[in-house]
Amino acid sequence: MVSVRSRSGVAVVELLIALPLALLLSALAVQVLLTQLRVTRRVESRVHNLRELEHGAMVLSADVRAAAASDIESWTDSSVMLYAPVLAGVVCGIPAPHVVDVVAGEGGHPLRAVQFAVPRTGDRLVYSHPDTAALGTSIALIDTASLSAVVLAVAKEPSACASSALRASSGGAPWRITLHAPLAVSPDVGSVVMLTRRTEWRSYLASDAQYYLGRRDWNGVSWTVIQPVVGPLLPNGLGGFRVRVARADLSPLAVAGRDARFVTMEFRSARPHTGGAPLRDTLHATFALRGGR
Amino acid sequence: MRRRRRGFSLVIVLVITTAMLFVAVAFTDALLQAARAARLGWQGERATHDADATLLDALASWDPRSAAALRPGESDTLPMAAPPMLSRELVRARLSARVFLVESSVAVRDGGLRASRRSIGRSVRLDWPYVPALGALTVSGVVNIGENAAVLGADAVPSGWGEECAADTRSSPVVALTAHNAVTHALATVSGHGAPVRLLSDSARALVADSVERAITQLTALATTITTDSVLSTNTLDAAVPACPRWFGDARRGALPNPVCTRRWPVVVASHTGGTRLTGDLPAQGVLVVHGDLVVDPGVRFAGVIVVRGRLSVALSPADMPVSLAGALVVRDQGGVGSALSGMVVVQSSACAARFSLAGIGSARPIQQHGWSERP
Repeated sequence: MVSVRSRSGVAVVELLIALPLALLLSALAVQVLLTQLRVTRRVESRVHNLRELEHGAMVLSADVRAAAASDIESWTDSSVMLYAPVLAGVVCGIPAPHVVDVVAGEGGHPLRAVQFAVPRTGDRLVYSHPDTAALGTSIALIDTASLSAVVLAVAKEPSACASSALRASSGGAPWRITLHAPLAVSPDVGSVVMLTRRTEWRSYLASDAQYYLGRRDWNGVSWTVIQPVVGPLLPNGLGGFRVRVARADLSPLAVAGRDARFVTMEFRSARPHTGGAPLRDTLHATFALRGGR
Repeated sequence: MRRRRRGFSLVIVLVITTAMLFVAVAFTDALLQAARAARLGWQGERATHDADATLLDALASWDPRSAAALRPGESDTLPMAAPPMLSRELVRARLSARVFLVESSVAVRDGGLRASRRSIGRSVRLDWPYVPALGALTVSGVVNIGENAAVLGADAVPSGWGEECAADTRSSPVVALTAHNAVTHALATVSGHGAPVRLLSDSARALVADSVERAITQLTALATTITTDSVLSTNTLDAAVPACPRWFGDARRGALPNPVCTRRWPVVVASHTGGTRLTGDLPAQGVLVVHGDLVVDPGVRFAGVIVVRGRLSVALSPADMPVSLAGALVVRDQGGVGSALSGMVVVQSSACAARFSLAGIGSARPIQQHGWSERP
């Protein structure tokens, strides 16, 4: 028969063995836990960082992807000024020499306008050279350059292009675009036109002493207040936002020109990381400009 | 009697395991979110580039005849093959005789219901062989415009074509008659941009003759029909396409004609080296290339482009039905015999008729500047 006393002695021994083991296990577990937490925080921070940079590249790409060489106005190491798309549509009528009606349908029809922002005064109407020859002008003559005019006013006009087959198929009220001055050369009915807006992307020092990539646009009279889109980025001196424009052979361009083919942008950010050096991430994006041969 | 054992190892292990479980769940969730975002981003990029490639494929394999059947404002959807995880759709809408908007949409599925969809649109312009139409009537030889005949440079819209010609009419007239030498009767009407007749110098005549020859070669290479028949009647019906004219498209509009016939823009080459007679009173549309001489009978109404290597002859008596040739008429007069138009014949420039006719053999070229759009 085993006595109660001897049993309690075994419990103490067990406890003496179990306690260090439990402590060891706990220490290991806590170590694993802390490592996991650190890794999780690091990954989250990195994912957040990259997501932020990707978001910036995505927003910027909407402006750059539709741009042609002639839309890139100027750039510095940390800024770029370009004409960003506002609306792409099809001319359905020219009721006056300074008025252009553009189809803006709804739904899934390809004739519906592609709209990125609400058009407004100061935007630029861009169109191809008109096809004036009776049997058609040579493509080499009409598709190598474009014409533009400044928009005075723009509004939906339900009565516009009422009898046009283009409107009938696309539905929706067309945009009536009134220009500052009568056009010397009007766009063809049935041609694709774009409204673009002078836009600047710049890495700037915000009030919180951090650098952000911001966007502002021209309203015809002045620049709007710059709004942060991505950030914080590294300071300009450390390459927080870099812009380069290159020719078809990737050689860099110093000034805007029709031979521009690629715009390369680099975003760099550093996120403070507890227990280590700040995490740095770089996102590099190259956009091919439209209109290249 | 067994005493209840006291200990806390299990508790510690349970607490630690639970904590680790929480951490693992949070970590896995973050990873899954990141993976999902990356997958969506990748699918979106894949869809964008696939849409771009699909669009280029469609332009490379452009079928001018099916495209020519569309009227401005109309659209069609082209079948596009795609692997199981992709769906491709290509819609083309006609904007004018020469300009189309082609939109390619691609959806990339990841096995479930989720799909990333991107659309890319591009405006394209049709390119066709150069036809040296330097006026409503261009003759690189001598032409005699007789009594009551008219050559008009003002742009004409064929009857009933108003809606489809909205984007292709020209407000300013072109030169009426360009010829090496022309004799016009006092009762003939020759009017258009500038002087009624623009005379070609010897060198210009040679250039025009060369250009006509090149146009004949290129149009013949793209011909819908090449025939050795010496008589082409616009009234002859096609056995293969019931109620449609055999040679040309039906230039009538409205409810009466079969839409299948009015959407045909054939290029007919009369390779007969002697005289070819164009006859019939059913309005015809398309392109006619004549390797020999062309004689036009009374009552003919043709909208489109006519290119003649030999001479052109339209001789109508006062009792005859008038002849109407709208579009562009180019005559080389290879034999140097001279062409002649007399009686109630009207040759009138029509950018719309000429362009729609040539669009039937046009190849698609993307418009370089600002002819592009992307829908996220």
